[in-house]
Amino acid sequence: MKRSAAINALMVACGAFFVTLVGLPFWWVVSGSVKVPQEIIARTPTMFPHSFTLQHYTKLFDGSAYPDYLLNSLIVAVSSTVLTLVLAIPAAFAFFRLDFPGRSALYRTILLAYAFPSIVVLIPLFGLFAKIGLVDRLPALVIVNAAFALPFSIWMLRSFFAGVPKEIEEAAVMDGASTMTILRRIMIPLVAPGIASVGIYAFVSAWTEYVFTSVLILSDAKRTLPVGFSGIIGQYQIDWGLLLAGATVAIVPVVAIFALIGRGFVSGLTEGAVK
Amino acid sequence: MAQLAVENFRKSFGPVNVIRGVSLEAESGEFVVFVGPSGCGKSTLLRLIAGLETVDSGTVSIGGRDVTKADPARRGIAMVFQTYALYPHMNVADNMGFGLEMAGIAKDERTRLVREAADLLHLTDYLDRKPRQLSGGQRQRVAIGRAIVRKPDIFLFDEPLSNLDAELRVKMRLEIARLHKELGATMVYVTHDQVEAMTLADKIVVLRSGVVEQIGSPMELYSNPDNSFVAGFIGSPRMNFVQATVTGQRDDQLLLDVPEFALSGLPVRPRAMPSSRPASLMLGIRPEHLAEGIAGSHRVSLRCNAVERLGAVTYLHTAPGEDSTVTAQLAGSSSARTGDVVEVNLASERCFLFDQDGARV
Repeated sequence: MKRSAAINALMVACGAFFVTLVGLPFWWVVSGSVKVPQEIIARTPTMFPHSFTLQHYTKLFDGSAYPDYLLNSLIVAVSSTVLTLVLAIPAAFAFFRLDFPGRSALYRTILLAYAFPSIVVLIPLFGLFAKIGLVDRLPALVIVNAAFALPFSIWMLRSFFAGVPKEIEEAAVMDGASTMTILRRIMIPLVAPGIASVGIYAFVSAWTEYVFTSVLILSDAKRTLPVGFSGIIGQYQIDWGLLLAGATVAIVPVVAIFALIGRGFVSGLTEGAVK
Repeated sequence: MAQLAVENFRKSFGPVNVIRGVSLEAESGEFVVFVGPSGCGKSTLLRLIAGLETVDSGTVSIGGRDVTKADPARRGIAMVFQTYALYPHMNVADNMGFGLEMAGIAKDERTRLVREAADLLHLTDYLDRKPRQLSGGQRQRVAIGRAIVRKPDIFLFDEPLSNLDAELRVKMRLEIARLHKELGATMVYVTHDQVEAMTLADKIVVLRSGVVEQIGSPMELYSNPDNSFVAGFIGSPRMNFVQATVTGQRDDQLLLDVPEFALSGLPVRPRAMPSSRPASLMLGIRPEHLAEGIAGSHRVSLRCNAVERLGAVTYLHTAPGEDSTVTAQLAGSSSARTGDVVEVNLASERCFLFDQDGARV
């Protein structure tokens, strides 16, 4: 297909616009984190740092509770992701493969979890966790994060399962594989891109979760990054350098997980299987 | 005792009756082909035998054992799918060995069996490759290999060659015939291609709308079809059907007027002389028996509206694309051109008669 120069130019312009829209704030945060304080608050902002310092990072790791927040966030996000996957994969496969009464009704119902804004369930949830002694403990956050990531994850994984050609499963049935073996040995490897997507989704939503953490966690030492870090913004003054350095470090795990798991987003994994 | 016996199979999907009372048998070592047009239920029948679908009623037994309710893996069968259905994340050796692994066979034995099958199928050099690194023909051979290693009592093939190009299809067809001979296994094969059916089968089962139309050897179906559907389906190009009026009877032959061929008093022997003489019948004659240079007492003039030259023979069509077209076989060197009127011989002893419902008379 031949495209005219005008269409090409328009597409390049659109691409450039979105790259700028997403990339510029990132650049601002990352470049700002290595500027000396005077340059950060200079009247004329500088696109490229004229100074270079790691003083904000030193302060971040030596002079604040940031390392604790970071560790808490990592524990919560990784555990939430693992729990979400451990529950979502068999659940999605069950919705896809098993015939049980009320399957389609239940399948639709699970999305109701998103019908309520989190603020609505916050108070009852607090009461519930208080009763079972989970308030101010990280497992409470893992449970909440997984519960909110699950419905979407199940929906998404189910459609990935449905994308696997039926004959592959039937071939495994003919080969004598049990349902669980089919799931473990055949289906999970084939829906790896879907599992990667769900994993990233669960990780990022747990990593950025604010509302529940701000209420369910009481002690400073157990706060996660978003909540703990918001304390850095004082009422009368903001340490911009510290804030930017903290934001930069907070981005790193998300970028890393995209780089690592993102490899799972290989399209055409079933290529060569059928036809 | 029959190796495979299907008794009065019935299956419907919702309101659609796909299989409507099918019974058939296959002897040990026999090559049985299910053939019929798309939607005739042949693949469903195979899947019912495999156990991938459950029957509404009827039984299937393999080697004398009733397996109607048995799991697919416990029926002693292996299936080759039209789409190969290889496990894309496993290499060829693992694809072929997976069924053995599931059967709990030790790794060394598994490796040996896979190697044996790979030798048979010329796949030894590809055992480490993933399916996506193989050509279509190689993938199909892996799919067949996966079936072979399990040493099943019965092989089921579901249109295994329909995804291959014409040249490869012929090659694989010969390879499957060779395998059948070497393994001596019972094979059940589904195809819509009557050439595949004719060349591979010991026994052909012709299906239409979920019902068996006729079961027999390829030559039986070719030379003694039960009805016009079987007559038209078996043989290529397909049989010509023209209307004929019955004018009389001489000994065991009916005398017919055939306006299409401008013949009158054409004597044709019915399968059995009908008790009451029908007024009109359908006359069936294959192109190779309405041909140039064959012995035949009757001359027929046909207007040539399309010519197909295949090299060895040439086909003449009177009304190409229409149901009423008549196809005749001319010599390969024939100089007939569109618009010519060509004279051919008709072998009246090779004519078939059908009533208006298509049943053989």
